[in-house]
Amino acid sequence: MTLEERLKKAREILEQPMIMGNPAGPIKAGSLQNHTVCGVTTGYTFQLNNLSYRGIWLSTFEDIRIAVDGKEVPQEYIVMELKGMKLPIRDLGGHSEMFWGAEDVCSLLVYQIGGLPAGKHRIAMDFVRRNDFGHTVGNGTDGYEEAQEFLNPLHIHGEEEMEVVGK
Amino acid sequence: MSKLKHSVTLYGFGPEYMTGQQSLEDILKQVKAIGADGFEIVSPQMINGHPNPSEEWIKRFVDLYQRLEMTPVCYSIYVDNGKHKGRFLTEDERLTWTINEMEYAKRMGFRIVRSQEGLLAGTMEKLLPYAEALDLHLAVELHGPHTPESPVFREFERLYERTQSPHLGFVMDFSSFLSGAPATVLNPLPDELCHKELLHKIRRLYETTEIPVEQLNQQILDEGGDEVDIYVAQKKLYTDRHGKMGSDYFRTSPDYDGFRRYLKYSQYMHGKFFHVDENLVSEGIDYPGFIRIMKEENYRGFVASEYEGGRHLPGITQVEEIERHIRMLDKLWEEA
Repeated sequence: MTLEERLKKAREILEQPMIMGNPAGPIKAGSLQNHTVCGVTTGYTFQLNNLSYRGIWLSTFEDIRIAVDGKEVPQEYIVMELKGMKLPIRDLGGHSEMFWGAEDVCSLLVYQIGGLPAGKHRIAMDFVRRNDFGHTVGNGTDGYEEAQEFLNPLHIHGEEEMEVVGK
Repeated sequence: MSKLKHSVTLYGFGPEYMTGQQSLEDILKQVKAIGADGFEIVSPQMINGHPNPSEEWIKRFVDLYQRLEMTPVCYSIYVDNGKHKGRFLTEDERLTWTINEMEYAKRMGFRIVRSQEGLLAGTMEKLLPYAEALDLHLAVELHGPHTPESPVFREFERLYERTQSPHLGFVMDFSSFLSGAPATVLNPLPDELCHKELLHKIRRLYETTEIPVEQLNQQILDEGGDEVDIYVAQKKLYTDRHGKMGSDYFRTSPDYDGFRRYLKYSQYMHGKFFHVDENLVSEGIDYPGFIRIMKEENYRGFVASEYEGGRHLPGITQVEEIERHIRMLDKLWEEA
């Protein structure tokens, strides 16, 4: 390896964003399936892996994007499913008491008539999320301009190739 | 001669738990086999149904640790200031959240509640009557990048000086007192990527001397290293700080005086560690120096073995690491 190649490799290893406790990436492998109601397929769904070393608040998500086979999914058709509730992903910030614990299943459901055709699909996800806690402190908005750990949320990318299973 | 009391925090078993490889029962059984005097649980990690676990779950959990003849010691809670975009929590949120968590800690049999500095000293003072009524020790964790001199912690110290209550205190985490990087820090890098032997030499020099970084970088180049080694050293050997998170390395001068001062208000401590070698040495943290202070100050509390070195691929299991850590602490306590 040349010096440049070694430097590039070292950067790749040492500058990965830290998703504490989640070596597998954000998308749960093998979880893709179509979503069918009364024999009508109205979308598809897949599960997420836990994104921290502990449970997290859904309100910490600032942005979620999904692309399937290279094509971005319109955000207005995506909901997050947790504890029997379906929450539009652009509204997660308002659900500040929804806690995703270690043993809860958390899925993304994309409404799309007909779902995905049988076979393999590459799901790519980009999400932006604040840490649940930090080490800058204050009361309400007092001093919040110092809270770089919240003002600069993590940008995480994950991809997974999955086959549609089930109906 | 007094003996050091050991606790094991289940925190280190988080990856196994969060990925479903191990249940709480599996983890407690492993911790039981290690033979510590007590255990600590991280509330938003392993309390099923957090923040309001069911009566049934609490009963099952209490039955489980009683059956295993284990002693609950510390219940770790948070101040989740990231919950709302654009603001920290308000005092109402911090106050009611913490009372709720303290009540669950009490119901589950814990007597120490570890919170975070985000609680703020003023709110802590309002919680003192609840800590007294519930007979709990409510403590804020001193964690990197903070040190005993950080203004927010000095405010807690002043509160404790004023109130002199055994119900309030600190949980000092050794991440606030690191000298340098752990011995395993370079393990995740492929051998062909950098000059590891040379970098380990630099790591030890950084930890045990005050040779300026520029001089150490020059030494890397003089002894056959290159730009990649300097990059790795700057990224991993000279600091573990990433923005507002992580920790600084204090080389030969971690705040020993602050440690001694804060001991007065400590009943529980996070013995953070990343690796203990076969000779029972944990490079990067001056355990001998801190244990000596604890003995001099007649510390009677717990030290929790808090393992955080899994990501450095140490080549031994977490259980082995914790067993070594406990043996190391006992040996140092006896020798001090």
